Amino acid sequence: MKNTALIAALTLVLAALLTATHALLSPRIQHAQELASERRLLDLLPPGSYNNRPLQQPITLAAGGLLQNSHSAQAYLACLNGQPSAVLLPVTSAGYEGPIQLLVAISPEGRIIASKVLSERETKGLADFNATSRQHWLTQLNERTLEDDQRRWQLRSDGGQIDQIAGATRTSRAINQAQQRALEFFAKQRTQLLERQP
Amino acid sequence: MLKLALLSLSPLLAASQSLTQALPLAALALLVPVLCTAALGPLRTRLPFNALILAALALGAASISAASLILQAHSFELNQALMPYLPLLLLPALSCAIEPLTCAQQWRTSLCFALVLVLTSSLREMLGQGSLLSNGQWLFGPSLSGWRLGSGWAFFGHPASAFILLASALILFRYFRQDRHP
Repeated sequence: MKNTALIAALTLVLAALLTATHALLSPRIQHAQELASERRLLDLLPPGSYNNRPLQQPITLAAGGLLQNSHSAQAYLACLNGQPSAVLLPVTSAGYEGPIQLLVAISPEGRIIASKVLSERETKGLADFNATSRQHWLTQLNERTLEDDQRRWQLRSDGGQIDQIAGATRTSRAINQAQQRALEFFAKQRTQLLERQP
Repeated sequence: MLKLALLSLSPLLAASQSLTQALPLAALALLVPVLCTAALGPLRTRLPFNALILAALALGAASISAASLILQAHSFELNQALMPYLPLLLLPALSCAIEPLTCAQQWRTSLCFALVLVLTSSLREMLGQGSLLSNGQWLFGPSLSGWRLGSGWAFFGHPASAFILLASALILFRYFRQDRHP
């Protein structure tokens, strides 16, 4: 009985200490969590290219249209010293196994800075974007604009200059087309998107 | 006891792929058993063995949970990276109840564990990734993102390489320690 009381007292003291620690650190944990989410989503922008917190002021875009998102989605405006440095657009494309959701960073001049796959259901080990090689493949699509020669936009199998992912031509084409649509959307909405700066 | 000590190697082997992950784990591996030993000291004469095990579990779990909260507040990414290994620190905490050591003895044992962890992770990171303190910003803020030394061998990125490094270190240690006189 005495042992049980001692263990119960110890457990209560420890629980009280943990509760107090949690209450004390809760705001800092939430802040750290927000910063981590921002870094994960914004890691496609070069370091030092923005100093605002784009995720704090999302731009809501309607579903469908050129971006083909199934639901309304959030775009973000990155600014450096108050000047827009990039717009991040969510765009969806039909892949081989299901929809591929991308986030495309576009410079104010309408050039692709970088892009990342947010979600996809492509064949594991062949066309999914967990592999470093396929993440690297995305980087060869950077720096393109709508004004570029059409061959710069086309896959080699279609007579263009881009190497498609081996064994995943349809996935490659879907991503390529999604980026093109993102640039077209940006060109049409450029003023509205860039004017949303804080 | 030996089984427990061997199981305690799991976090060492698994989390030793980078120095940034190993440093906080080494600090916790140093602090948690020493705190448990200190807290269990006065209880040892008052509680029977079975109840002492429960007390060690409660103390270990509470200190690991508190450490996890502090890590989350400091760097969320670092906590995510270490999350699978933190509960394994319960094993050294449990061994405090089974083997009665003084705080000084426990400190020395934990220090050895922490030093081996730091050395193994430094070697594995340099050989495997060709870098040192990669993702250092998780620990030290944006001013330190690590050093790239060159390209590494992918093999050293796998946990199995930690076994090989430890075994090599043990062989060398025994070789230099053994009495070579007939």
